[in-house]
Amino acid sequence: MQNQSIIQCEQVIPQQLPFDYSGDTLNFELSGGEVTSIIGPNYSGKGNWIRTICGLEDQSCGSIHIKGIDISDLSAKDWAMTRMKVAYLHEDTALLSAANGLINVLAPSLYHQLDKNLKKQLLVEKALELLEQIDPLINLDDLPAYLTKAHRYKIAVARALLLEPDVLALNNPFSHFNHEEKTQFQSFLKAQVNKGLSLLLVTHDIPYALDISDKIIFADQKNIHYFDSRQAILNCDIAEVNEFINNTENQGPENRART
Amino acid sequence: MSVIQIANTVTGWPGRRLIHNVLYIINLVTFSTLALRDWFSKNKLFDSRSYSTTVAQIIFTGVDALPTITFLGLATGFIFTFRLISISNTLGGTDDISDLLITVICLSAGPFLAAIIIISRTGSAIVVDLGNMKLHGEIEALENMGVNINDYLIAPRIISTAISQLAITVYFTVIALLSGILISALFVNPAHFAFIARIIDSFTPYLMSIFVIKNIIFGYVIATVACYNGLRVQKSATEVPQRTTASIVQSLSFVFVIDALLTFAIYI
Repeated sequence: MQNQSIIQCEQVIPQQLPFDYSGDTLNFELSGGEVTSIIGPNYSGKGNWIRTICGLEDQSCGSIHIKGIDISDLSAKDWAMTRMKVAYLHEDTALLSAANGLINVLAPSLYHQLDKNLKKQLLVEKALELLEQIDPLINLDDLPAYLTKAHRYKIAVARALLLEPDVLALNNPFSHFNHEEKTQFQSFLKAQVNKGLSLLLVTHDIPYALDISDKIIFADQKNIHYFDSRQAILNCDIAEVNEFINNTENQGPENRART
Repeated sequence: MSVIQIANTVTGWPGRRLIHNVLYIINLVTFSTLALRDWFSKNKLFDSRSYSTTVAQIIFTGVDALPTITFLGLATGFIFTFRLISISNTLGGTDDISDLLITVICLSAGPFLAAIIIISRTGSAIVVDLGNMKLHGEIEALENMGVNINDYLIAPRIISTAISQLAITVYFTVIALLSGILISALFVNPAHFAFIARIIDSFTPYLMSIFVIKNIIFGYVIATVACYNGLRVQKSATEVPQRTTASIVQSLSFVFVIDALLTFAIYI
């Protein structure tokens, strides 16, 4: 799985950026087991970039291929496959309000009939095992309204992972976590990456992004810069990138804001 | 304002309303056809994809409505069946009364009252349910995981409501007829028990097919209107009650119009 390209972006600019953008296009490739982070100042359209890369927003130019298929011309079957293989979650991804935690985790997998390959009981066991790894304290019998935001988010992650995606795209994933929960969740993500999952992150936790990422994309309202290693971004001579990294290193995570 | 402008204003409004209503009906037909196409292309009748949604909707629409339907059936039995049978000697032959009971109870009052119950209970619940799901991002989250809401949320609701409408009308009709005949036989004339056999004899396959088709159309239309309105909720919570009201009014209007058209087609 390693080195097999899952997402390929060529000369892409998101169509729905909420400001006039005349900067560079994005050329980027995400392979199996790789971690890519998108970082940058607030309101720099990072959410638009990640959604466009995942095929959830249109691009104004360029092309995006997911598992070799051009996403501008997807059949209904390919659309479903694409959405299963590239799981996108934002910080407030909703659960089914009428279903408890466990049913929420199982529902999409049952819809995609993963229980045909794996008996339903085995699917349930797999879901429970996944939830145990993410957080053993989640009460799975409760409806989402009675759960904390952190628990709801973890259930959403388990729901996405049960579909066995190749890429987990997380937009601002740590916003509902306290320090302990964040550390625990980051360990879980690292374990998943070690198993071959690719991660695409939008995060304000810059030290974490620099630590875990193989590739880093810096986006602001004027331009986008792509770095193929941690060292490349630390050694770069782009003023706005250096200023952003220096500023965030001097600030605590409490200064994070929305993308 | 010239005469032509006044004429345009007077004739323009009904014209615009007519075009608006025709386009709305085309939207509804397209919406439900796409939902059913997606459902039938992937599912067997009770597939794991939508089995739980279909069964839950049948239970809510059909089974949970039974106490209300029972009450209405008994009341209708007393008001219509009992009184019509009681005055059968005055009105003429018993065959005429059997035909009258089939026309009034089975083909008119039954489907119509069941439709009103389904519009007020199920239709409104579907709009609120889908509207809130849309509002809270649940539908977006499902679509982001490759779930086609047409065959996961919409088609099961349409199919279940159509099945439930038929089932509760059958139940209502049986209760309304049997209770009226029973009361009449016990308190007026035991010979009135014979109406049971006469009604069964008079209920020809032709009438039965009209009964089935009418109920399925009612259920189909009610659920389609409700789902369509539920998904029209965009961003504000105030849209949910607005769409619910619109759905109830539109469903009632459609039921009246369809009933009238079917009556016209059958009897004229």
